[in-house]
Amino acid sequence: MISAHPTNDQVRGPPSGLSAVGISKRFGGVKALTEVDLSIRPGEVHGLVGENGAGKSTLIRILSGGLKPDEGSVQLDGISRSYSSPADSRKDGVVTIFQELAIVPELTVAENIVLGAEPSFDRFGLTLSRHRANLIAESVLRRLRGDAIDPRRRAGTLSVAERQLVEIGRAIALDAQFFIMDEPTASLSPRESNALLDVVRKLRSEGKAILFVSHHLDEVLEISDRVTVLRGGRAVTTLPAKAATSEQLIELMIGRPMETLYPPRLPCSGPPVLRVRNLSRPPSFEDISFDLHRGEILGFAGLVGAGRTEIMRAIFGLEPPHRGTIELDGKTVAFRSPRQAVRAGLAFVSEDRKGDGLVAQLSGRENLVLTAAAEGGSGTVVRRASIRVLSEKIRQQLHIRGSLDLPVAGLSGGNQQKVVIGKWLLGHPRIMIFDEPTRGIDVGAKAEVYRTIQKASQDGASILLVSSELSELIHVAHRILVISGGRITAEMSSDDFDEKEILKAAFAAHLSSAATEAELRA
Amino acid sequence: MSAQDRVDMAKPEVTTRDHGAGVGRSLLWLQNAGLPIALVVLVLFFSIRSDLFLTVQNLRNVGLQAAALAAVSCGQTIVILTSGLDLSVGATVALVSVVSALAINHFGMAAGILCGIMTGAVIGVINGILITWFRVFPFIATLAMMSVLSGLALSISGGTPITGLPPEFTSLAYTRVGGVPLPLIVSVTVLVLVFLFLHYLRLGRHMYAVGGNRQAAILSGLNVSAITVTAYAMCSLCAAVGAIILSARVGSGQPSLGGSLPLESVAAVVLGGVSLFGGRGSIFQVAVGVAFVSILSNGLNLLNVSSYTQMMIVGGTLIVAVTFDQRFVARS
Amino acid sequence: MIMTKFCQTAAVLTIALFAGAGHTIAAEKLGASLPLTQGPFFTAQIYGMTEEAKKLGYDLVVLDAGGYGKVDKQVSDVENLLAQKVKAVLLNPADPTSFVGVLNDAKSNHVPVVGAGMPFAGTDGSVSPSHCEIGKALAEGAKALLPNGGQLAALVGPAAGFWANERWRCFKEQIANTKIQIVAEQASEPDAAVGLSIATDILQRFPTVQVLYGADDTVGVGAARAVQANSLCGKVKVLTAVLGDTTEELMKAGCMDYVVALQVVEVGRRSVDMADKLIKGGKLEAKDVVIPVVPVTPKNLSSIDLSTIRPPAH
Repeated sequence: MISAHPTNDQVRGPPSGLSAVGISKRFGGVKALTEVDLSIRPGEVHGLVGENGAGKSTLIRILSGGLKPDEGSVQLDGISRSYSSPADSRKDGVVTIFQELAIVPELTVAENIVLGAEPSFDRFGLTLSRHRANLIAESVLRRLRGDAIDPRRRAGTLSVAERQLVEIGRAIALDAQFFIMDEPTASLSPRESNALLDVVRKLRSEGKAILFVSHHLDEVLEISDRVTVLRGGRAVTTLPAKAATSEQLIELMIGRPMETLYPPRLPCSGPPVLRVRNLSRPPSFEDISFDLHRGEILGFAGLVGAGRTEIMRAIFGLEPPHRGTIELDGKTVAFRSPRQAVRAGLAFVSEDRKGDGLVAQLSGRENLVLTAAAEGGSGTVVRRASIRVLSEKIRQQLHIRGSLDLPVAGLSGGNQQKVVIGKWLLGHPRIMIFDEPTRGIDVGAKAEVYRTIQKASQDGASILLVSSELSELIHVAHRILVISGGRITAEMSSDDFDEKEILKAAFAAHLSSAATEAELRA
Repeated sequence: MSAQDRVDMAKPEVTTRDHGAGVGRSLLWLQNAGLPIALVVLVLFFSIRSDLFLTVQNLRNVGLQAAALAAVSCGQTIVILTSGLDLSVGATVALVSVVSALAINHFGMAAGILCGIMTGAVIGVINGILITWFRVFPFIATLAMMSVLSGLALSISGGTPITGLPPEFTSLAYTRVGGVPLPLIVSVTVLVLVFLFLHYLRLGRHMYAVGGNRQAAILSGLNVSAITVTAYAMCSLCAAVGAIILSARVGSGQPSLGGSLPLESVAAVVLGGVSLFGGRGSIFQVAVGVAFVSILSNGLNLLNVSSYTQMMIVGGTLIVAVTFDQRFVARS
Repeated sequence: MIMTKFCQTAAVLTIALFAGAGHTIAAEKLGASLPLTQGPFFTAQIYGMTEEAKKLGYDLVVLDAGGYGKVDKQVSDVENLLAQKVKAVLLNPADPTSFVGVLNDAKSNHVPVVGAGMPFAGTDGSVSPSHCEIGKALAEGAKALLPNGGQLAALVGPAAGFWANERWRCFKEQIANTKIQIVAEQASEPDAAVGLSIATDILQRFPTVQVLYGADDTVGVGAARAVQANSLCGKVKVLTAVLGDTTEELMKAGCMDYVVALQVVEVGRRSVDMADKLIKGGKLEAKDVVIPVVPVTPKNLSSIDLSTIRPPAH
C-alpha cells in the first residue's frame, strides 16, 4: 500500500531505508494506528511529533520489533521484515534508544558498549578481553566526541547524557544504520541537549538514518530534515522541516486552529489565607516568606534544584521545616504528615504522577477516591455507587478520556494527571499545590490543566504553582515569586511580569561576581 | 508552549545534588568497609570474651564449619546478582547428600560424588526453567522446590540417614593439607573459580547485565533465559559441593541436612554487599560475609548462647544488612 | 538523626558487652550436646545433668543444635565443645551415624564421650533408656489396650530421628504376631500442634481406629488432644512414651491411657556420673547402662515415684 497523501516518498522511486508501510494496530477495541506510512532514509533525520496518545510510542515499538502490526509491514530497503523483538531488529541495524536507558550500572562503560558482542581471548568466545573492549569503546566514543568518558568507568556513575552517549556508542559498535530516538532530550540540560543534537548531526553526516521523536517542537524543527505529524493514530502529513513552524505543527497535532492555550487571566482580590514566615530548611531553602490570598494563583519560578519543590513539601508536611511559621486563616499550623495537611484542606499535585500521585494498578475510579478527604471514599466501606456518580462528575468536569474502570497505568500522561487533580478536587481543598503539573503531557491536556487550575481558583481555592515553563507561569499566575539558591530573589505581579527579569532573578544565586550583582541592583 | 522557555529554565550546569551525593558516598563507603570493620570488631569481641576463640583448634573449627556455607553462598551470589533468589539450596543439599550417599554405596566414591554433583546441576536447571519458561517468581519457584526436594530426599532415604559409607569418604572432611581442613580448601577453590567466572568470562559479565538492567541485556541480544538458567544451575552446583562437604562431615547421607542454609547463605551474601535488586556486588565481599556469619555462630557457641538466641541474632543481622542495601539503593 | 541515634545505641551496647569481658572459670567443664532443648525429655535430661554436675563440682556447658534437622550443626557443636577443652562430652545425637569423624577427634584429644540418652558406636560408654525396649514396652501397652486385637494408627515422630525409628521398629516386631492391625503411620516433627492436626486427620479417615500411638509425648500429647477435641476419650485409646506434665494431666482427664515413662532425670544424672568416672580414669562396671522404663496407666499413676522421671514442679 502506498501512502494516501502526497509525500516525497513516491517521487524518489524504489524505497530505500526503513519504512512503515500501511501499518494498523488495535489494542482491544481501540485503534492505535491506522494505515501509517513513514520512511527513514540514510543520511536523514526524520522528526516524529504528535500529542500523547497519537500513536507515537506504538509506532516506535512496531518499527523496533517490540510489537507486531495487525496490518501493513515494516520494510527494510523495500523488503518486508518481521521482527520479533528489539534485539531481533538490532540484527538489521535498527537500534532504538528508549527513554528508559538500557545501561548496566555495575559494568564499565566499555563493557556496556560491547555488551552482547564482547571481544574475547579464546576461539570460543568464552572469555572477555577488557583491553580490546576498552579500545573499541575509546574509538566509538571518540567518533561521538565523548572522549571525555573513560571507558573503564563504572556506567552507574555516568550522568544521563553520558549514559545516552554510551547507548548510542553501543549501537555504533554494532554498526547500526537506523537510530530511533524516543524523547532523547527529555531529561537533559540545555548544554547536554545541544551536545546531543550535535551527535545526531554527526550520525546523519555519516549516512545514518535517525527517527527523532520529541515533544520539543523547536528542537524537532531544528534538527530534522522532514517531520511527520501523527494525530489520532494517523500520519496526518509529512513535511520538510525547513518550511514548518512550531505553531503549524501544533495545529496539525491537535487538528484544529490552535486555540488559546492559556485561558484569560481573571482578577483576584481575596483576603490572605496562607501566611508563610521565615520558613527554612537549610540547605534546601532559607527565609521564605509570602502570603497567599483566597483565589490567587501564586507562581514559583526558578531553576530545577532551586528549592521550590522542597518548600512545597515542607508546607505539605512531607519534610517539616527546621524554622519558620505557617499560618492558615490566622492560626499557626505545623503539619507533621501529609495526612494532617490534607485534613486542613491542602492538596498536592506532584510532578511525579506515578511515584506520588497514583496507584498504577488501581482503576481510575479507585484512585479518584483514594484520599481520605474524598466523599464516598471516607469510612471503611467503599460505596461503589457513590464512587461512580462522583467519578463521572469529575470525568466530565476535567474531560478525562479513557476508561476509569481500568488500571490508570493504561491512561495517557495527560489523563493520568487529570485523575490526580480530580482526586484532590473531590476533597474541595482550600489550598492546592501544583508542582510541574504539565510536565510530559501534551498540548491539549495542558490547556485543560490550565483551565482546571483556573476553575479551582475561581471556586475559591488558592493555588501554589511551581513550574519550569516560564510562559506557563506568565500566562496563568497572578503573582510570581522567583526562587534561586533556596531564597526568594524576586516578586512580581501580573502587571509587570518580565521574562528577562525573572530569568535574571532565577540565576541570581549562581552569579557570584560583585560586578554582576551591582549591575543587577542598578 | 515554548520549548525555549523550558530550555532556559531547566537545570543549569551546577550540581544541586552535592548534599545527597555526600550521604550516598559515605553510605557506599560503609557498604564496602563496614563489613570488614564489623568483622574485626566481632573477632576482637570474641577474643576478649573467650580465651578459646583464638586457639588453632577453634580457628580450624571455624574454617571447617564455614566451608559448606561458603560453597553455597558462592552459588547464591550468582543467582542474586541476576536479581533472583534460591531458597531451595538447603533442600538441594539434603537431596544431594542422600543421592550421593546411595551412589557411593553402590558405585564407589568418585562415581558417587559425581552423581551428587550431577543431581545438583539437574535441580538448578529445573529451578531455572521454572523461573524463565514458566515465569514463576524466583521466590515462589524455589520455595516450592524446597518442599519438593526435601520431600524427595526423605522419601528416597525412607526418612532415615544413609549409612555405611566408606571411611575414606568420611575422612575427607577431617583431612588437613598443611594444617588447613580439606573442605575449606575446596570451598576457597570454588570461590576463586566463581570469581574468575564472574570477572573474566563473558557469561559472568552477562550475569551482572541481566541483574543490573534486564532491558539492556535483552536489547543487546543476550539470551536472558539461558543466562538465568545457567545462574541457577551454577547455584545448585555450588550447593551440591556444599552437600558433599557436609555429608563427609556427618559421614552419612542425611535427608534433613542444610535446613538453615537458605537463610544463612542469603544473610552472608547480603552482608557481603550484594544487592538483592541484582547487578551489584563482589564475591570477595561475600567471603567476608560468610566469615562473619560463621564466626558469629562459632563465637556465640563459645559463649554458650542458646541456639534459639543465635537464630534471632542471625535474623537480626540479616535485617540490618538489608536495611543498608535499601538505603543505598534509595540514594543511588 | 536516626543514624546518629543508631550509632550511639550500638556504641553503648558494644561497651556494655565488652565490659563483662575477661572472667575466667575455675571449675572443670563438662560439655553436653543435644539436638533440642525443648520438650519434656530434654528439659528433664538437662535437669538431671545439671543437678548431678553441680553436686560433683563441674561446670556444665549445654549446646543445642536447634532441631533434629540440623545434624551438621550438632557436629559443629561437639567440635566447639572440644575447642572449649571440656573434660568430657555428653552427647545425645540427632543421628548417631553422623558423629564418627568428630568422635575420632575427641579420641585423639583424649576427651571421653558418653552417649547420653542413646548407646552408639565410638562412645566410651552410654546411659540410656533402650529405645528398642521402649518400643517393646509400647507394644506391651498396645496389647494391654487391645487384648483382642484391633486397629492402631501411629504418629512415629521425626523422620530423621534415630530414636523414633528404633522405637517404631521394635514396636512393630513385637506386635507382628498379634491381631493388632496398623492402619496408618505418619512421620512428623516432634511437635504437639503438628501431632494434633495429623491425629485429627487420622481420626477422620479411620473412624474405626481404636488406639493412637505417639512416639513420644510431643506427638502423643497432640494425639490425645485430637481425641479430646472429638470427645472420644476412652473410646480411642492413646499410647505414648515419656511422662511430662501435660501427659499426666491428660491421663488424669481420661484422655491418655498408657504411657511408657522414661526415667529421664536418672539418665541425665547417671550420664554425668559415668563422665566423672571416665575423667578420673575409673573403670566402668558396664559400658552401656540401660535405665529401665516404667509403664504408667491411670490405675498406677498416683503410686509412681516421679523424681527420676522429671524435674520437680515449680
